[in-house]
Amino acid sequence: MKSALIILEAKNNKFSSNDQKLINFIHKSYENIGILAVNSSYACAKTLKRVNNIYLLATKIPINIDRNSYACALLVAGLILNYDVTVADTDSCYHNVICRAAAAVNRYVISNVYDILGDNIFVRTAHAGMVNQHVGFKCNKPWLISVKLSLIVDPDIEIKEEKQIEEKKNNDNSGSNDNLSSNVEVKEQNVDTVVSDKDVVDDKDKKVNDPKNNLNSKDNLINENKVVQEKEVQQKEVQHEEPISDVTTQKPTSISVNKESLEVTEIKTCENKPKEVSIDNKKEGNEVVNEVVKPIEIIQDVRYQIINFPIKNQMKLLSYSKIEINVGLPELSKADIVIAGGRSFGTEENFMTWLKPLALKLGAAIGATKGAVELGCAPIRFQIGSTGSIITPKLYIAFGISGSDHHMIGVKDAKTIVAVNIDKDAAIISMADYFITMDMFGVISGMMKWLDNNKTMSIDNLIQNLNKNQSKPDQSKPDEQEIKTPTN
Amino acid sequence: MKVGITVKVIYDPEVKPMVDNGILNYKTTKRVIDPIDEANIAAVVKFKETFPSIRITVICLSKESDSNLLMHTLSMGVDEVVFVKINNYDESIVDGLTKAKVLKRLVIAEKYDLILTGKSSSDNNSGFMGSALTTFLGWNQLYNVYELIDNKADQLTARCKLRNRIMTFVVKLPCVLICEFDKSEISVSTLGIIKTMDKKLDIRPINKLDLTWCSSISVVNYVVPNKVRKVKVIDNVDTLMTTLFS
Repeated sequence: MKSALIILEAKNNKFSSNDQKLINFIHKSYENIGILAVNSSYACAKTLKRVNNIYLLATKIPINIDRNSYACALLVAGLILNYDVTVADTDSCYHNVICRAAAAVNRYVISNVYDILGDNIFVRTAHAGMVNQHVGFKCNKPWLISVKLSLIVDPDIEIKEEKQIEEKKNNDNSGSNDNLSSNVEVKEQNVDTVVSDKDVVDDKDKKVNDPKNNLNSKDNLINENKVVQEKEVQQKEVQHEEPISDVTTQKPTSISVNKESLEVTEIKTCENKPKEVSIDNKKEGNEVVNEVVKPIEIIQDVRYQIINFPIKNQMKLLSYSKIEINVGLPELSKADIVIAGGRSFGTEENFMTWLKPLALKLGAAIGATKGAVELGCAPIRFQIGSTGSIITPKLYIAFGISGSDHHMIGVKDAKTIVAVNIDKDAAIISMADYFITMDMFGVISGMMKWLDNNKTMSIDNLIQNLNKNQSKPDQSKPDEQEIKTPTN
Repeated sequence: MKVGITVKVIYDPEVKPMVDNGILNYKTTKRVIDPIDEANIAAVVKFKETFPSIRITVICLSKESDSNLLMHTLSMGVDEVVFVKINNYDESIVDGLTKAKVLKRLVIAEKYDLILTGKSSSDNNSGFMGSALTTFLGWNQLYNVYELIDNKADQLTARCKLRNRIMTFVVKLPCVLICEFDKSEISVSTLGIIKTMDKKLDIRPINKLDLTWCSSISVVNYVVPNKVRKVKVIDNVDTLMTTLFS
């Protein structure tokens, strides 16, 4: 069974939706998922789904990974050897950690991966996002990759959207609405069951383990400064273990097969007790293998291992301050809606005066062309394009942007592109879904007026409606032109 | 203090590569110094104005024809360029791991105190080399550095942008800095152009470093993404907003 180790950090003892998105993406290709959960308590780690094995770090104080990247890299270098592939987010500081760890085991990291096509074919962007490369490792496993999350659509969301479309089709096409709605209810119930059953699993685990070492009941257990023996959550009694899937409800036979294999695994795991992991003596945590191949939605047991992590800061921190980036606006790389302007705004004051109120009303991030940045209309962090950010929002509205190759590379994967330009021959027309030939200032005023008239619509509603409209039969179709390897 | 700045020469990231008879054709695309590395050079040259004892060396590994481009870095205020010539250079064969190994040998031989690398490169954005070099050298490291502040004895003070925070660190030398300086500060001083005449470009063939190329990865193929969109022309803002949000 293919296994992957993902390195994640909890912020304020909470994992973000992006962390789960990364797990979901990797889970599509690797069945056995291990997580190195930094700054996470047991309770926090419990919230992660589709995970088989979690390594928690025991420290006195939260780990500042920027000051402890060496120790973390050493730890990762040890864990790497137990997994086929080790993964981190390209845009996080853990990209640095896995690169350092990779060098320690004489391996390279394939960065910017946004798709996995086969056992050893990773798709990444190259040449400033203008070309996609299919890359494979020449060396043996373990391999290391870092994933460009902003280019990935969360499989969970895809499934939900597909369901919604199916539901809609069924409602539209069939007269027997009652039957269909009951089908939908069954699916929703299954999802609920999945969640509630997981809680049951965790609660049971808690009970079982409490008398032994009283670890699970304490959320702050990782703050204890002692080498805590790794504990086993899996127990022989696994009546709660029945694999439940909201996808495979009509195939009970496959469930029973999985159940059998799961029981076998239980015996195996009890026999192979994992060793304790410590950085000081550079022993690595032993592998914990669940030899079960399961469909995506199956609930499974999760093993927890606690690793003692001594904090040895390599550098002195003099001061720190928070960066205030456009208070109230989402991050450019994560926003569902992005509005952007070009040189035609002329000045920074004009740029922000016109775009910021609209951005606040739409819950959008603001972007800019290279030309606008060079002119001083917008800061460099706003820049979209091959030398700026490459973004994949649901909606991209371009005001007064002509559509140079350099800029459009940055938004080519946006779901819907709206171009506002007075020039009917602007290059952007060939890449837009909607084109409006009007003065951009008039359009911004018009949009503000429409939003004022529809005040009842919150930002969430706007995005929900946008999703609905986008899930209608697609006008655009993705296409890829395959080319041979260049001869240079 | 001896400062080494690693520089990568890439195909112009602003020009889309041509597809010629199904082959990715870079023949008409010019080679440029990666703007990220250029920003690193500009930042260190500026730092040198405050600390004149610094000696700046640009280190580049690439094919021989790229060496002329590095004369430009001398005009920016760099003292010396070390160019490691690689015969039959192919980006897909010479990966970051191999480059880091070559650089390690160079850095140890030349006894640098500080090495600056880009957080990523503009072409494949791998961001591997600096981190790997840190491991190979066993030095301290600062990540995402955006400003150099002070240099006293064997210590360096620098500011980093990390998790929406600006952090100021004091780190002991030798050290590797993985940087992301503001590209808008790139400039060529006129004085530097005049001084270029006295400076040297040291070209070293790779075989002198006694290393065999062995790539970790292979490129299976390339794909040029091409999403076809059917544009709908709209003449009214209300219609547009209703289409999008209602």
